[in-house]
Amino acid sequence: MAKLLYIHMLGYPAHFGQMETLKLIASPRFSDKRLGYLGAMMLLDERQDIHILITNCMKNDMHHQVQYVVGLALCALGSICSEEMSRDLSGEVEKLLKSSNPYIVRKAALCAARIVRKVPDLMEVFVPTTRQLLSEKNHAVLLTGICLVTEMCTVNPDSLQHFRRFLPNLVRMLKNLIMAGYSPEHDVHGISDPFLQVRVLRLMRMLGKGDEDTSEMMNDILAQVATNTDSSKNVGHSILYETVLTIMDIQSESGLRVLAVNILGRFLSNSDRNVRYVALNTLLRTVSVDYNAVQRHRSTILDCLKESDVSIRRRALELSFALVNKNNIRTIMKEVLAFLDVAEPEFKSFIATNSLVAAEKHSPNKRWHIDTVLTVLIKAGSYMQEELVFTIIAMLSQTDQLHGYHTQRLYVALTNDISQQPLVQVAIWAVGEYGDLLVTGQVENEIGGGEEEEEEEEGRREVVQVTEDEVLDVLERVLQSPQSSPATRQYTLNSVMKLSSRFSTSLPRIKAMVSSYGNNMDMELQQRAVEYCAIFSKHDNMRTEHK
Amino acid sequence: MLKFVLLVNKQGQTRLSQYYEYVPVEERVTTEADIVRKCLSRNEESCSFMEYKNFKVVFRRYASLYFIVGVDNSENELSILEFIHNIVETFDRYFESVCELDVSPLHTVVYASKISIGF
Repeated sequence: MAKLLYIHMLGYPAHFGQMETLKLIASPRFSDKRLGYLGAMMLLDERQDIHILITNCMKNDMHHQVQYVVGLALCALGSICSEEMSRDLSGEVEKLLKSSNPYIVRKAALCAARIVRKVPDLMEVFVPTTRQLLSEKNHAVLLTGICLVTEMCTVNPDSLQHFRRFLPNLVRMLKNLIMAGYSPEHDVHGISDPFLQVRVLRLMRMLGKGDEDTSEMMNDILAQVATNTDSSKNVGHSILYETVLTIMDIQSESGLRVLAVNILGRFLSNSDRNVRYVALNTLLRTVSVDYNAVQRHRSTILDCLKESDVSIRRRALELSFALVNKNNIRTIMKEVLAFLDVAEPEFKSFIATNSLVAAEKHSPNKRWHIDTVLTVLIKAGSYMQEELVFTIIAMLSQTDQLHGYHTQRLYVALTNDISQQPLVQVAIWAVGEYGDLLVTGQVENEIGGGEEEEEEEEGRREVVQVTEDEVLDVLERVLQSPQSSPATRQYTLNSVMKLSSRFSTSLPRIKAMVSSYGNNMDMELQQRAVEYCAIFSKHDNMRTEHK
Repeated sequence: MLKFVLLVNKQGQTRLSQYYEYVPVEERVTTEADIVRKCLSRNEESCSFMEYKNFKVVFRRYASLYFIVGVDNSENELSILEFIHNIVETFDRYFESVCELDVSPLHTVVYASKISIGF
């Protein structure tokens, strides 16, 4: 049987063992029973009908003399209870909750928690006994009792009101835990019973959410826990973390919140990676609540971007984007763009989209905005989504003064690399629209004019002199390259056509290029090519020089 | 809320697995393989937490054995790390300085001791 369980654990089918488990459970020997229940817990689930047969066995076992047998039955019930079983046996469980043996009470409480989660209606059965559970001395019973209450509160929000009356008890419990001296059976690295502390804090969080009075009662004790806990080891950290979460969720006073953010700040500079990760995570949640406090830690967050661990980097990235505003956007974007070079592909599209959104909302001037957008395009072009191409084009067409400038940049990028589709599309469009500016080498430079800092940062861009032939060369390359998608080819054909009215000397070449697509396999391309050829031949007199 | 507990060795073989919610067998095997692969590829430097689909995974390596615990998003990760350490200490006291080889053939006993912790 044991081997069968091992096989099941590895993932192979093991249904044939189910009848055996029944026989084992019914046997009087303890080790057989233990194995049988174990098998039942692993092999049976609600969909089988066999589990109903166990119900009777369980009922008998729950009245057994030996506490371990009772414990076994309760455990099994907790793991595999179905609705009917729970209804049948909840009465038994409730009786056991009142027993004097802490071992049994513990198991019964956990079992009750499971039942409550499964069948919320049965909650009323267990509510009266919880009060007694919460005033026990035995830590284990307390722990499981709180588990049960937490479960009830999660399942049924109305019960929160009922349990708020117990708050003084909880506060007293926490106080005892912190003040009490060293107690060897509950001690973990110098802190007494951290698991209980964490559970109590979590329950307080649920009770205090949205309720002014309860939150007020908790303020003192939370401050005490936060200041007294020794945080040299991980245990202390976990308690502080839970405290911070609680402070954030309840209606705490501002002094307490400041304390919480300070704790998080300390976490951020901790040498242990896990702690830093946890801090970043929580800061993300508090940004919406308390923006300014988080700003103070901005530089540490940006440093985290350079960490070697993936999870930390992702969190730092999300946090950086959340922190962006008009003042700090330049520093943040600089870091983010540097990060873009080394990021994994799944990050790149996230970064690209968010950078564009952030740049649009907070950019200090148009030129910086366009610069950033173009840099993002060049670095992460192939990971951007299609819709963004249209947004970028729309944006570029609105900034009249900078047409020449961005066409230059896009052209240079295009000559370097024609594989990133969104980049190519935007570049081709720009070249088509403003090709004449490109050829004459006009670059407007009045916007945001000559901010010293900006020029130094971005370096002087050289104005590139291109001829019409070179431009057409590049376009031809794009048209013929196997890497270009059909959409890109269409863009290119359009651009070539537009250039026919902007360029003065290359008309024959353009005509030849366009007509060569007159019998292309792609319907769209063929149609366009034929139409454009028709314009050349029949409507040439409408052509005017583009100003 | 705990979703599952796995003990995996360095070669990726599952030594112990306990699920606290119903998950079909095929899905279990694929999820386990995926998570184990990600955990094994982490080095000493990186974080002990990971996000996988819609839940969090906390893991720690003790000698040649990886202790992996899956929890939902509302759980305190640091206290789960403490919990893992607690389990290890319990095993240690029960088996008198436990090692991986103790875990595999005696897995029934391991299960039994887990029941006695109450999970």
